[in-house]
Amino acid sequence: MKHRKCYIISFYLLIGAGILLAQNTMVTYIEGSPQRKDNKGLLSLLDYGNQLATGESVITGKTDLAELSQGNTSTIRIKPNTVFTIREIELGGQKEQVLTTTVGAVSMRFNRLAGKEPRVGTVSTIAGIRGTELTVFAGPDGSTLFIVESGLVSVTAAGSTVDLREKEAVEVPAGGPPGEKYSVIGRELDFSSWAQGKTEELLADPQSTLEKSVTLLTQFKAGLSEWVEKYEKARIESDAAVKKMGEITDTEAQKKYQDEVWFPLALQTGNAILNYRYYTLSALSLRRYVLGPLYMQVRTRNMLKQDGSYQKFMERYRQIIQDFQTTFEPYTNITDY
Amino acid sequence: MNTKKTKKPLCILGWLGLAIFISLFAACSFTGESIRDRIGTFIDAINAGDVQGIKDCLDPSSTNYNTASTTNFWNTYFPNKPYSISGYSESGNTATVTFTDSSNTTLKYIFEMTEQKGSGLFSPKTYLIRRVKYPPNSTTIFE
Repeated sequence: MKHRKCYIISFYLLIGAGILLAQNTMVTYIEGSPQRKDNKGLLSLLDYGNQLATGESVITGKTDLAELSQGNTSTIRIKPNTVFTIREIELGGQKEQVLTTTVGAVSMRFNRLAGKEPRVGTVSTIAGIRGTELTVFAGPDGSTLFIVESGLVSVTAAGSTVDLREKEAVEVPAGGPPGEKYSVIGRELDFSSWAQGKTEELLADPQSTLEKSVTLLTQFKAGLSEWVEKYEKARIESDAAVKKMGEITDTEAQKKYQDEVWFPLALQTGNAILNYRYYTLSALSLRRYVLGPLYMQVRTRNMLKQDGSYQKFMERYRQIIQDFQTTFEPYTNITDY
Repeated sequence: MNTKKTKKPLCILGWLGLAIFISLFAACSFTGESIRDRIGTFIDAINAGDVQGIKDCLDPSSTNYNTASTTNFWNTYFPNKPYSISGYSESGNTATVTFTDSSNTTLKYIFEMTEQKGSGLFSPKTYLIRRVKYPPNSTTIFE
């Protein structure tokens, strides 16, 4: 019984220690000569082992890098040309810490099980997080890009909130609400294994199989259309950034523009391409492994008896293929076949 | 007498053939292809707009292997073609590569490679691109 009490007390002590540790931010790694700006506005060289208090900032130059640790709660990696500040704000009558990226980029990894997670953001945005790895890009124009590697992030700006999950991202313009979130969907659907051994099942009612395929193709078409539109928009912005980047003569300023403006735009464009290709290739796989074999089988089995249902099937199949050719084929290339 | 005369050149030819055979396979197994060679082939394919060439450099186990096999995708990250390799460092199966375009603008990417060992006894070692990151923020652009 006495031992049990001891264990309970130790447990609460450990939790307390965990919370205390979570509030201490310690410098665990540095590269170059990052600077520390204290609450009085005084600058000094950041050093390994420094403890950072609320209100203090870390400023990195073009070749600097700093890593901070909040006990076992989180790891914060401050990239070159960044101003990172530990702020405190009052939310619902309680003071909460906000890890703020004023300009530049910071990657953060938070441990879900290690105490209360702080909020992150920029001057204009705040994000609540749960067991997360995320990167925050803060552009010089005040815009912010949040990219979530894992976990859950709720981004709030101008009274609007967007929830981000794994592989999702959102851009927040200066002073405005979060834009539409986007995500990288991943590997395309593969119908080759799905259709295996299902020939008889699919042939039992070929017309119904066609219609089920049409339902899927309609979903793929909607996805493709959405992402092609996003791609076109992102590509225009990305191309404009490339042009502007070429006009900058100062190498250092050009690199800064490349990192802070061009790359986030290129990333949005690239992710939009991956997503529209996801829908295109999923549709292609459906055509190749479900519709194609179905057509061959129906044709072979009805060589001698081509009744009304056969004609109906063939007509519908032709419509579907025609639609596929105009919708999806422009987004395929020789390596897809 | 005649038999001896024909046997000798045949014997020499046999040894010569064997030497060629061994050196050919030995050369294959010893040289193979380096990470730098693969990245060189990859950027050449991007410069040429050769989508098959690009795909051949990517690791098929990558999630975006098929979806990223399009010139549009790589043109986004290499927007001012042609590019040449102007800086290179390697650590294990990871290479950090600086590319320069015709207007001297540089772009740096990190390539994580997977080693491919051929199935045959003398098959050469090659590398494929498993992941590409943009270094200032280590943001993954291809995986």
